[in-house]
Amino acid sequence: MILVIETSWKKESMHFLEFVKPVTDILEGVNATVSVVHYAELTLGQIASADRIIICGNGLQDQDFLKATRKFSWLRDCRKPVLGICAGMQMIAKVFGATLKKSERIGMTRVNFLEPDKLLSKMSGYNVYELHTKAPGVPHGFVELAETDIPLSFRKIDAPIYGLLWHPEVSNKELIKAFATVELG
Amino acid sequence: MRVGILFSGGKDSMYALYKAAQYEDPVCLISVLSSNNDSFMFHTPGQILLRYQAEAVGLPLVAVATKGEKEKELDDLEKAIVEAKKKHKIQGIVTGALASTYQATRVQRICHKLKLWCFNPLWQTDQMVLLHKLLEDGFSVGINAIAAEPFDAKWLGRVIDESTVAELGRLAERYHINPAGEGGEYETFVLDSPVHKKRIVVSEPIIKASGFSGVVDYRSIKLVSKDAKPASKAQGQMAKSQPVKKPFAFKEVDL
Repeated sequence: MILVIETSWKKESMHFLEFVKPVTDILEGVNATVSVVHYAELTLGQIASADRIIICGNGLQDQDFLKATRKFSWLRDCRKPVLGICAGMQMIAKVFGATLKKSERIGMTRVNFLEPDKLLSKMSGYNVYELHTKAPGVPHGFVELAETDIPLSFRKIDAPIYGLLWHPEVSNKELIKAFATVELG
Repeated sequence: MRVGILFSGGKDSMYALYKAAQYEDPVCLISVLSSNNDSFMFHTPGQILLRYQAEAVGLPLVAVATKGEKEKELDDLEKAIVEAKKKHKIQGIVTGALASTYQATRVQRICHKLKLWCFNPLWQTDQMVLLHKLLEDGFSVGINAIAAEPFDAKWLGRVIDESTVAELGRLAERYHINPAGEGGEYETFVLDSPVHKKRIVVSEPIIKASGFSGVVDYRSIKLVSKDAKPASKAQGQMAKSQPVKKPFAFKEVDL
């Protein structure tokens, strides 16, 4: 089961339709079993039951989520595949001690790949869709996978915990499919 | 949250209004209309239908004229949103964007600049899924303009039903077009929907078409009570619909 974590400011919001449903549609397209939870209701039991975890992005004005680092402390001991999309990547960075800097990017951009990687190697092309106002540094214990003039992707060195600052559910659906199906452990 | 709907007069922006009404408080529609002169008039058939749709859903329309010059279009869109923010105290914008990152980027940048929330409830929805959802949710959608092969004059004035959706799917495969008209292949207007307070009834069509380009104008456009009997089966199409969680206030529109 893939646990998809919604990061919108409230449980019933239009941002679910924009940032979560496109992800779950892709996962259901590859016959993945999906369970969706809002981050405010996330439990350790749900984390334990999941085989893989996706932390979704949210809207530019939606900043409440990043205050909830305690809800994501389980990341420190997690050995399961985790994919943090945009705000999800920012949360991963915060939990592992990296800082977020102001970085407003809206639109398509061309990314440079830095390291070979099982997940990112499944991406066709170089163009990605960014929608963020902050960019994280690369935490200690992580390797930077892709960049423009800022880090755009990282992975934990000893666990398959990924961050993508862009929105693959928009520009690179094959990455979500690969996250659901490829052996990443 | 008070939201304004970017309204093109087509099915996607109307469906976005429908979704917005389930989550937040739509308080106005916002349109940018092409104009040949400085003072705008609702002078094209599509713009006339847009005005009737605004009245049909009972929301005030904030409309700004644009001369259609590419570099100015963005300024005009921002001007319209600024006016909506001032007049109707909106805190967010809702669009019917499906997949165009170009369009989405423009609106996101303006919203961010104006500190407005930006919602795109149809984002990344499969076009065939959207067409089916429109029918399931009780939308009666007419085709009022065509702009690409294979859409010829026979399509003008057609009300989309299940057989039309199936045909659009077949044509999409054969001609590599967007079945929901995302690329401008055809344009639509909405005669009725769960968010309509009144139905739109059109008659006496005037078709102006040549090859794969054309529009339909109507000599008669009326707003009728939802209780009134439909003139035809097509006009009366009203499938089951989802309840609107947050009904918005009726507001009279000055025509």
